[in-house]
Amino acid sequence: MKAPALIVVLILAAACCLLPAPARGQDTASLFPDVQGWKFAPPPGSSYFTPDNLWDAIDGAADVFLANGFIELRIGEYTDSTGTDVRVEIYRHSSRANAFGIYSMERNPGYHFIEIGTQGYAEEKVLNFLCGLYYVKISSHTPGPRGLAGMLVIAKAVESALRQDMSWPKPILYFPADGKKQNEEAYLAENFLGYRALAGAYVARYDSGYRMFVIPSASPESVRTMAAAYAQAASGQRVTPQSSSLIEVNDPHNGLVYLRLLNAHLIGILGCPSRDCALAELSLLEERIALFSNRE
Amino acid sequence: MLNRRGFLKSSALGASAAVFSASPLASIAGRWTPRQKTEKRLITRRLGNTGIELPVVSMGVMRSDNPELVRAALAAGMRHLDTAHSYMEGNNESMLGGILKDYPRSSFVISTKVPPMDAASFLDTLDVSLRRLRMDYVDILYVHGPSAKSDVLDPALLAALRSAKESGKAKHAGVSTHKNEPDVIRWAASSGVYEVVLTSVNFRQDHHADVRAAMAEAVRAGLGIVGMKTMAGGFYDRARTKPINCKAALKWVLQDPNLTTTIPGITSFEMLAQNASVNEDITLTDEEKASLADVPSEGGLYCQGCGECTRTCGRHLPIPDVMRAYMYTYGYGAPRGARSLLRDLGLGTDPCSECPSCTAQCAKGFAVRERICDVSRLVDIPEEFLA
Repeated sequence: MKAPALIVVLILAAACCLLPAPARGQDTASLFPDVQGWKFAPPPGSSYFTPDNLWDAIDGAADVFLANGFIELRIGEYTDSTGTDVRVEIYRHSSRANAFGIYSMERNPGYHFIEIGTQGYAEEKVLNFLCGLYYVKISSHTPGPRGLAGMLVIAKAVESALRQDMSWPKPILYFPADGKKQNEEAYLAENFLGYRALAGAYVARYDSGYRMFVIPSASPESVRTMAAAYAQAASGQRVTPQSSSLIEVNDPHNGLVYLRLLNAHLIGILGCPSRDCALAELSLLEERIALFSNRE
Repeated sequence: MLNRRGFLKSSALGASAAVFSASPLASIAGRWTPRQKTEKRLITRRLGNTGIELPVVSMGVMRSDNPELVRAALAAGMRHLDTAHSYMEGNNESMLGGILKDYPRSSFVISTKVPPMDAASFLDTLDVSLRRLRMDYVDILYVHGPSAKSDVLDPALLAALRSAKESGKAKHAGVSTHKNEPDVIRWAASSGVYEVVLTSVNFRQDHHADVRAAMAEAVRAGLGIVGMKTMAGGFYDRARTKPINCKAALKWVLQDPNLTTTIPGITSFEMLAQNASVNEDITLTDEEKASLADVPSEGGLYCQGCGECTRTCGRHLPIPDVMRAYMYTYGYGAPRGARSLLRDLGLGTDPCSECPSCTAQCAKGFAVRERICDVSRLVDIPEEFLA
């Protein structure tokens, strides 16, 4: 059940006033700050997981985390004097892109989004948010506003303790806003469109049914290699991609995919009704990338 | 025990579309189709007494958010799809629901998993999964990942499984396990309720012989066995730089006739094609056997204590003891015991820091320095953060 927006806003405002006490040094525990009125304890059983034993914590869901550069998981629990309980799972990933990748895979555009970290959402008994290198998953057994308030207080404290750059990974900002579906951007660390050749793809969906993507790479040469490998794998086409041309790949699984090389970016679109449409949309994307590049 | 992954999401949210839905052009005819409508006969096996017959390779959907891959897997003859309530916070089940509504219900066999919790919540959670999947029933309902006898044989949970079957929401009851597998398999076989066990099984398991024996006992009791983690993580090393021959690993586990099918995670069409080919031929070639046997630097976790490493170590460190700590951590999942051992050894958090290069040699080919540096970090981690 969704929490009423007003209640969330009010609780969030109150939570912001409860700044965390100084963190406990710079060790493991520093991720779980002291919070006034709350008692912290590690959960029964293990509270620290690495790529080798993440399965013990989250079973088969671990696969997706590992594919997104998972480094470690730390778990802590808070309780207050009224018995409200809050469980915090802090997943650290190898890059902000990877943290966004797993967050984007688990979020749903229908959730109730709140302002915390880079972005978060709160639902009955669950509050998850992205915070730089971290994906934070908070839950409570306590139902209703009391549980929600508790989760928000702890979430704000953890957010402060993490001290992260809260901005979105830059390629998310490249996508033209007009007609873009909100909160459906994603990052695929590997096997974008189902092909090994395409790794590290940011993708956005549009109301008109198409998808645009940006794959930042190390160099124009590596982008050329990537485009050629994908075209070969998907359609058997042997292409020598040129930066000025629009590459059309007849992908048997994903339909017509249009690609363009843009310096160290591979950009593309699929689901477009025509080549002209693809050209027009990719031009807009190119303009946005140029705009952001000029700001650097 | 109910944890955060077991919390229910509203059905409206749960049933929402996943990030990727089908491209309007997705059905376009293409050059390559993964053995679609193949003329070759797929190797199939019966799943215990369930009456289900499956190709030996199925699809673990847990890592895939790509509907086209699922469609391609079905076209390749993979009838069984495995998901769980918790995968991708429900988006995985929702994606499958969006795809499978277009297929005859009898054309696929779907399993989902619900973690151990109280009976009412367990059944409520199943209902949410069914709404996401847009189905009236799942073919196999697993209790997700219990490792303790009290969870596997929890009377309330067993009653919930019976109830799910009686109501027609689950055709068959199962349990999944990736820890303490032999015991879990044997408990399941003794329960009178479980019909299927989904278990970790692979060529790198130190206790594989016991897993295999338990599987045989369960099959004799009428249970069906499904294998997971058959590719042992896909890499020999933690940095994922030394890939395992996954096709060989898959064939290796299928040499055991007690294993009905496997559910490797599939995220690319290349991977799908490779796995689908195993459905036609599980013969291990000499080359494939050799590829699995040739593990020079990552030969498992068990240190035989020969002392060669200590003799060749520049500091004569008690390396077998440190390797034991490493095994406690990564083999037994007991980092607290490992930390205690390491503290007793008094080597600090970085005992190799004084050596510019490592001279220690291991008769089994362990990456000695890497393992010492890795596990020694436990010394500084507060005890309350360890199991």
